[in-house]
Amino acid sequence: MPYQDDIALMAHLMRRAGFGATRDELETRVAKGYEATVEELLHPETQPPVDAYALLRYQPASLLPGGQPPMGNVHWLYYLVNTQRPLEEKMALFWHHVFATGNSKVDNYDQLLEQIELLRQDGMGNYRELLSKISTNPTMMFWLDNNQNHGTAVNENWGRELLELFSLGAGNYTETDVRECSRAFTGWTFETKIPRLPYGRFPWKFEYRPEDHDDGEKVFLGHKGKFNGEDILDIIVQQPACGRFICRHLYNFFVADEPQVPAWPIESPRDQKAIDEMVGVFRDSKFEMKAVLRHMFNADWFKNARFQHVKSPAEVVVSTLRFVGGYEIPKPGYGELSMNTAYMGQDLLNPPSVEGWHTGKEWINSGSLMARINFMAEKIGDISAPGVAGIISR
Amino acid sequence: MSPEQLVDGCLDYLGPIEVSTDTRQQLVSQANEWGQISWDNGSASASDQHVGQMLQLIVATREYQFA
Repeated sequence: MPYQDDIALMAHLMRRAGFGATRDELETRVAKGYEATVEELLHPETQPPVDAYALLRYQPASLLPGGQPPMGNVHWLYYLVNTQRPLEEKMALFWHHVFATGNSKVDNYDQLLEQIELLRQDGMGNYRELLSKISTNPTMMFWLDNNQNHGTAVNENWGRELLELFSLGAGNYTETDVRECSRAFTGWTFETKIPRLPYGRFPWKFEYRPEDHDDGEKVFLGHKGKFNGEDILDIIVQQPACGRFICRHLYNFFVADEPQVPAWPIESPRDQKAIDEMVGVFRDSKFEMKAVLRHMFNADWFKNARFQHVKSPAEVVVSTLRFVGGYEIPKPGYGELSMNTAYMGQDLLNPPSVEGWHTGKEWINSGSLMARINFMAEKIGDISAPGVAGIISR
Repeated sequence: MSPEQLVDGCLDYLGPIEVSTDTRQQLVSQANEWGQISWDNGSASASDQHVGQMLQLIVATREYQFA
């Protein structure tokens, strides 16, 4: 049944590179072709953007939600459910797993949503450039205390996580490297916040304060010089460990479940050959994410890795809502709806720590399993929902 | 529509989803209790409900938790 095989393969691609697809969409995409669909996904600019004004008409509080859930969640859920650029949104979710930043400390969904927009716009771009933008993102700076990283009093939080969780992985640097990296980012901060009252919150803005920067000589990963932050990023991306770390993240998110990140120094990848291929593309393309994604989605090891990945709560909720239909308008009830990923163990915009979420089998416990099945069964059991009625009519 | 066709059709449209022999047998066992599915006069409403119920059973399977 070659056509049925094509449908199954396309369904696999759309589950991973997006949030699933209806049968009608799968049939349309099969007619278009697999590689052509991959290219469309890689070029989101060819598809219309989400209608942000519809969101604001129905849920105006989601524009600047402040520090209280669920309006920040409403905002992102609306994009996730309605996007016609599924890979763009999936990459924002991917980087949210990696550059995990949370409202538990930031207390500002306005800023978290701005960070998500950054990940949406640049998530498929150049990793080196993305690192630069996330290094100057005030939400990240506050989350990891770089506003408290001074030339005369170094705070290592950002420098450590940049190396451990955002680029190289544990075991690929020394404590001295953490110190020297952190020194290079002294003076990278954000403008003094304007008090919230009486007009409300003001956007945070990056600020470089040269008088607070340690301009002394540093020794970092074998290189010596009067490094600033950008120099550090240049050295980081040239490390073989960087490609291995980012590509293993991609493999875990898009292809098949890996052990949790802290175990990576002691547990080998489940498919070293696949990782090596991705690392080669990452290096040869000068860190272009789109090139790595293209290679990954067209590889046989991706096509054959069906049902090797436990759906994350975000994937469960979004794919269910897109499948059953009827959630194109952020109608009353969207707030409660948006919290369902949290009930299943994934509070979007509020990960448990900078390490992000543990994935794979760790999504499942007796409570989260009940939450996800009850949610899906309630939605999919509504035979009046457009997507379900469409199945019945077939 | 036979019980087996109901199960296979729902698995197909929800994915297609691949399930173990045991899971499929459990689903067919439930579908057997509903008997033949028909959309003839008088039975359409019940048949619609059975499709919805079968979809609910499938999303509760172990296999559906994987992407």
